[in-house]
Amino acid sequence: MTATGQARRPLIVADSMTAGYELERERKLLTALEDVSLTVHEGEFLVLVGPSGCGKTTFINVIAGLVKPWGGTVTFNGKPIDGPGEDRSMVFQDYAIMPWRTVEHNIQLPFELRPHDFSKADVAEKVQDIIEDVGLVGFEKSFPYELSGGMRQRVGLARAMVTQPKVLLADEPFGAVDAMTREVLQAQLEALVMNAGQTVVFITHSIDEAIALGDRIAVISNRPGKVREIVEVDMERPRLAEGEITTHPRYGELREHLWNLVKDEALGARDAHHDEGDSTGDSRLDRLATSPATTMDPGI
Amino acid sequence: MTQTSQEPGSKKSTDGAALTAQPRIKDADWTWARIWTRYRFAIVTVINLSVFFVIWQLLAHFEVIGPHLIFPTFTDTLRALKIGWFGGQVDDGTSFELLRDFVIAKNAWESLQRYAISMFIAIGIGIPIGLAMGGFKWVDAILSPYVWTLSSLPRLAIYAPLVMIMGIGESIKYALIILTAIFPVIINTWAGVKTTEQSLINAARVFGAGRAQIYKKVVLPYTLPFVVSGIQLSLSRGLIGVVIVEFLTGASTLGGLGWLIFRSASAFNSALTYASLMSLAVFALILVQGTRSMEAKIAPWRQVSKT
Ligand SMILES: Nc1ncnc2c1ncn2[C@@H]1O[C@H](COP(=O)(O)OP(=O)(O)O)[C@@H](O)[C@H]1O
Ligand SMILES: [Mg+2]
Repeated sequence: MTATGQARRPLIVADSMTAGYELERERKLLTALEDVSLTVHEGEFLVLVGPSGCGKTTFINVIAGLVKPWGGTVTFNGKPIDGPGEDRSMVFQDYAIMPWRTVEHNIQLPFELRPHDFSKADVAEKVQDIIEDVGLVGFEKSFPYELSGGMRQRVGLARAMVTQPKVLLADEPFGAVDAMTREVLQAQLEALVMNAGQTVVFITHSIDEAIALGDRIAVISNRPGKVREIVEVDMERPRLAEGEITTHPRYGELREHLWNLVKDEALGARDAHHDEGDSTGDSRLDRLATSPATTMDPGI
Repeated sequence: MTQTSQEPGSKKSTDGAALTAQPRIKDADWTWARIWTRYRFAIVTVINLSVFFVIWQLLAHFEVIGPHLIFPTFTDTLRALKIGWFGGQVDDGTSFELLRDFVIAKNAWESLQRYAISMFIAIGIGIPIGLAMGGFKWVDAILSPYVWTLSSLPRLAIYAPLVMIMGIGESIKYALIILTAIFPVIINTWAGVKTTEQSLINAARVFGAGRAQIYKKVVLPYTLPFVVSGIQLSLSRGLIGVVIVEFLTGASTLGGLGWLIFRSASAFNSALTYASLMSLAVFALILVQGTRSMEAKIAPWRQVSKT
């Protein structure tokens, strides 16, 4: 877990990677990330910060295997990333848990989707263990709509961790959660990944969250995104188990340094474009509840 | 009134304690106020309907709207309902040839069979078409011109060309009912597939789902409530179709409930017309109420933000 001292083995390596999207309606190509080179070391907690729309989600989706880069290479364990794999799982900003599944069935989903050697009882035990770890005991049979945002993201976290993946990817997972719940969840996440020795790539727009969680913080510049600077967080762990980390002597310096970096980028971004809006989990449920398309059907 | 044990700022369901807490509302004394708050909807409805029927009776009795041939009394209608459904002697000259024992029941049964078979076919074809259109671009490209044209076209207009092809028989009735009913199912199913949350699909992919699994574990469950509301719409469309088709095709004796309504009206047996109409209305009402609760049962998660 410590960033310094040990031999750092590169696990995920992006080398002059470019990625973007084809805008079908406007018949344009939108470059989200340009010439990004970044190495994620085994066992480290890497946090990405940067103005919204700079391509953080795109980057994490490339690692997840959801988005194919246009150019350059991205390797995982030395092999080019070609689609999702069981060594990488993900926590989503809008939770992305299935509304028709109970908590335990949502958490058990990874075992349904990938072949494995565990017996039914083993799977049930793993699910129950992770439910205890994230604090969802008593809600096994609840549906997501019965849960608060923080609870829903616990489900998302449990689903991602239940298979003990090598890498955990998290895209602003606590962005839509209220401040108090967020602190609890951060501490839980730190404990979980310290236990399992996971490699984590974590996106946030909160500098405080970045310092609280990260071994290293990569600041991404405006779209098309590049890595502007990587900041080492030389603070020992666990940081969140007890007490305030804001009183740590390094905290203020780090925060100011990061703030200056991010502020530059954010000010630059303001004219560049308006954000398309990062949807929150709640609005997703609202949309689910609206009625389906009505038609111009005249009836008879 | 005894006070119910209600905590201030009553807890949300996210709170573990609330799920296991004892019932909040204890038995209370029976008072008029309580009876009123509990049953006021039923009471108001009973009063409302009684007034309606009394006014109907008065209007008909004094022939305000027209003679009895055109506008029957409520009591005559009730009598027609009784004979039409349960049989009984037609004792005096107030009745016409059409009002025979069980005439409504027999025609209703005729319509019901026709309706049920057509709806089975419409739903059975409509869901796969909608799924295929939503799931495969080329199916969508091939079928959508026909689906959108036919669904926007008033279906009555297809009747003439259909008659030329099929003639007037039983098959054209099914064809027309199916055509009136099928499009809401197709279009809603299609919309469900098309609007499936991308983030749910992404999540499934991250956790290992291939194309088939994405369909099975994400797209289909997501689409299910859309299908249910499509079926609801289709059921009421189909009912319109049945009535229209029975009117258009006609019959000499047993033409169905729709036929009976029109046939009795043209024979000036207004009591039978209104009795048949009321039967149809009750059936439609039961159908709509029945399917309404269907959605809440099948997809409880969609009900949340509505309430
Ligand atoms: N599926 C998509 N189709 C088209 N453009 C997209 C898509 N996803 C993201 N973008 C665009 O790519 C850019 C980077 O987006 P994203 O990676 O989500 O940024 P961030 O997560 O840093 O806010 C944005 O301008 C966004 O509008
Ligand atoms: Mg993002």
